[in-house]
Amino acid sequence: MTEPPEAAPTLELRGVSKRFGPVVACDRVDLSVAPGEIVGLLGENGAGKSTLMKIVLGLVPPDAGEIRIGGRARAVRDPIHAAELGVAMVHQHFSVIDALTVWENVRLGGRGGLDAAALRAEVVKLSETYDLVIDPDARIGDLDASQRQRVEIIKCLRRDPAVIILDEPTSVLTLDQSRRLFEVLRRMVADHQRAVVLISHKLEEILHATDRVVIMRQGRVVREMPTAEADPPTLARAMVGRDVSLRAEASALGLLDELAGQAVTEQSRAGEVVLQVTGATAAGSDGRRLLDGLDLELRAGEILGVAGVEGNGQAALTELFSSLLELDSGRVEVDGGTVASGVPGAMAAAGVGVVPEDRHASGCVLDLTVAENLILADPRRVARWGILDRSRISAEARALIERFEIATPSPDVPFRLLSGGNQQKVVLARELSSDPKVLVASQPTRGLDVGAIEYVSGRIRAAAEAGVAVLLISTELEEILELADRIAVIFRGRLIGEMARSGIDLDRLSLMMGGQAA
Amino acid sequence: MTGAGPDSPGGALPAAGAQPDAGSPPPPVRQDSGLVGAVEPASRRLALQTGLFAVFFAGAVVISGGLVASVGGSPTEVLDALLDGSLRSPGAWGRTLVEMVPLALVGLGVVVAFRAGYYNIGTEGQVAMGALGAAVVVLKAPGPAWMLIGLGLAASAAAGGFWAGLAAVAHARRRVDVLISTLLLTFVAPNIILFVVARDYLLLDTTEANTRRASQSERLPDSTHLPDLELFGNTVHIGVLAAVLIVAAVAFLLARSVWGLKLRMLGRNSQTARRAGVRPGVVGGGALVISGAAAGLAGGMFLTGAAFRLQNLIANDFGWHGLLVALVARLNPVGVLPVAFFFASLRTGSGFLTATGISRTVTDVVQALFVVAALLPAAVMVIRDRRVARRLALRSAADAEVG
Repeated sequence: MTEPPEAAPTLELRGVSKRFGPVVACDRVDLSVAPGEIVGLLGENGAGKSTLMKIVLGLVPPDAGEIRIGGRARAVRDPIHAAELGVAMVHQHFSVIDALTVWENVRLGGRGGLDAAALRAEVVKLSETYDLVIDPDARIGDLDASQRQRVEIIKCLRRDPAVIILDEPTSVLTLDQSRRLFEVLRRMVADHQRAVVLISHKLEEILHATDRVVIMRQGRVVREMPTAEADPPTLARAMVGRDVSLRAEASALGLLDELAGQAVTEQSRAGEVVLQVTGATAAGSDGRRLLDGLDLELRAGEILGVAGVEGNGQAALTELFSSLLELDSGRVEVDGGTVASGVPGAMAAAGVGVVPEDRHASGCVLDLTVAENLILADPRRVARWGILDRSRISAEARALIERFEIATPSPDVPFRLLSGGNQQKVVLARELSSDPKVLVASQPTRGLDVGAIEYVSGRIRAAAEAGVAVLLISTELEEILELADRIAVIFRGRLIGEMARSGIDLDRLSLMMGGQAA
Repeated sequence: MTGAGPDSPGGALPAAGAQPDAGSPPPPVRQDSGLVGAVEPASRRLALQTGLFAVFFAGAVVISGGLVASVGGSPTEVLDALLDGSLRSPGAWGRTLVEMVPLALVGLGVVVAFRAGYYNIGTEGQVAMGALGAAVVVLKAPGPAWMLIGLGLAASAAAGGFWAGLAAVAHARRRVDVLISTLLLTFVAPNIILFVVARDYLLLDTTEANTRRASQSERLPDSTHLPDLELFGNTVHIGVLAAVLIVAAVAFLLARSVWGLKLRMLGRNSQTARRAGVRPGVVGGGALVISGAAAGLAGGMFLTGAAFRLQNLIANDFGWHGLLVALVARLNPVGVLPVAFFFASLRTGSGFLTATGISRTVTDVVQALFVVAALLPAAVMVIRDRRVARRLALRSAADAEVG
């Protein structure tokens, strides 16, 4: 520790350890947060941040160590108990109910009667105290992501917690909204002496918003320092455990400004139009418009980044190219030929490869083997008279495993047992090995560690260089800036504007992501 | 294409990721194998399952014994009767093998449908419809006897497949839940048979033997019964051989064919399957029809091999017990055979129980106890697997730290 905290710590962890079988998730972690302080918990995916916080909330029992809250050792039973003790968390994924109003949702999280007037007044009071502007009678379904997050924060503050934990809070926000969130946090800490833990894997956020930074790697706290003394190279080295090039890995490290400032050499490798979507419109089962007259044109060899705040039609767009969504109107053309939407296998047959956002949902079959997952897009290729040729499958799988550097002891291991990065490599290997004309990659690096992120980015770039038209759909601006040649913004089911990567203007992009066509 | 062609996408991978910057230490690797967990050895699973089976089976014996003793019977006599009826008395295991045929076929069909994610629980009705199909052809169609047997069995498979196919079409067209439609169709089937065997212009037995005009068909002529085989003093019909061959063929196709892969894909992850071009209506609906056809064939073989006469309750619980067979075999097609044999011994064995003077209700309870004992190890394994999966999930969550 470089500096003793001024006040008695509100939350203190001493020697907390947790193992999951052979994996040490947390190894003798010490951590303390004092009132009036924002501590950044930095680490790449898999460093043990989330496990640590799950231990604090009572979701995972620790193997060893002590949790002290308000100066007393506590055994936290569950998140409700944690809240009673004064520790509350704002999760990455919201737990609010769309059909209910703000005050109704705020009520759901707590105890007490159902006095509408009192609850409304309470919401108004909280929102005034903390400068979290919100209409208590608004329906959650009508709010945007940052407003929903405000509701989550109000729900959390209603319990009057001494410690607030925020888990990757900016993943659903635009740049501008993130900046405002940090201002609110700052005030909350300064005026009300709360203690805040901010979990993030983005250097920029940590540098921007915290007082002290604690860096975890492989379950251990490897470094701790006042944020004022930290700089990106130091943090990056501590986080990854080796010297990293901030330029080359800016995306994986969450250095947006570094990325935006990078000079881009204009490449004129874009060729013929390979993918054309015209007026794509589709509604969900609840009648809500998922896609609303979306137009899109993609050329061979280029990477088009589709940026946007989560929930604006990205999922539907990926489903469309996975043949899982049928259009109500509009058309998809690949290489000049119309491809029927929603017909199983049609998109794949037309040469559209997809790396889906949630690979477990539509990218692979967990219960099949690695080899089966590698060939499942076109099993006929490795079969004779309808009977699978095992030696051919094995040979093909081995070739792909070697070529795509997939770490697995054998092709016949259940896919379920692979680590996230290796699972993603299997999906990539299968989609790229079928020589696609178009590759649709949705959040391809989500949840991966720095090494795997570099790997996946490299593969996608190489595919584009080889002439594949790449559609990169992502809510992570870093990912888009890293890879895309051209950037379009998706808002409420349509693309509302675009700009070349070379002429990038972050403020304009942020406005567009908020729905203002600029 | 195989291997890394020079022009393949990704063939010219930039240095990123592959090699860390020269001079710096290599990045730490947490799992050399790339795995987040270990595979459990199959031998350990088998040992555990066998152990559980022994424990629960012993439990069933003890409870049945106590029950029989409490109503004044002799537990040892009951156990003797069970064993005599199923295995020990002359010709007993032949009868058990014959009883195994419908159970194995139904169980196999259920495995196919369940593996595709189509929960066909209407096998009892499909067995009945299969028997009806066979009876109609054998009793009404012209032709030599050997041909009638073949056509009759084909008709039984077609009738069972048709009955399950109704549910498949309703699901494909209107999203009608397969679980519900197959179950409800089960209660329609016996009534159709009752209608058919009560009309003299249809299948009602109008011979002089049936003076009271009971609702049943004529007995099938002896020449149209399934041919018998002599096995070490036991008589079995050739259906036993056919069932074993069918089970082996389906097990092979499920594991090794393109069809089997598509079907397993659909059952495990329908979204991935659809993206890869598996049409649920064809593969899944097809699995449903196949499972109905297997159940129908079971009914046809029971009629032409053992019952010889059509009645409305012809299915005789084969459908329900076949479902249990598939579940106890944990949807493993090869496991269907031994499990079906076990269930068949319970059925033939409990036939002998009544001879001990114990009331029918008690023998039913005894039989049910053994069914429960057979099901429990599978249930325990499922619960255990779920725990293991959860531990694995937690572990990989700790590993991947998403959310």
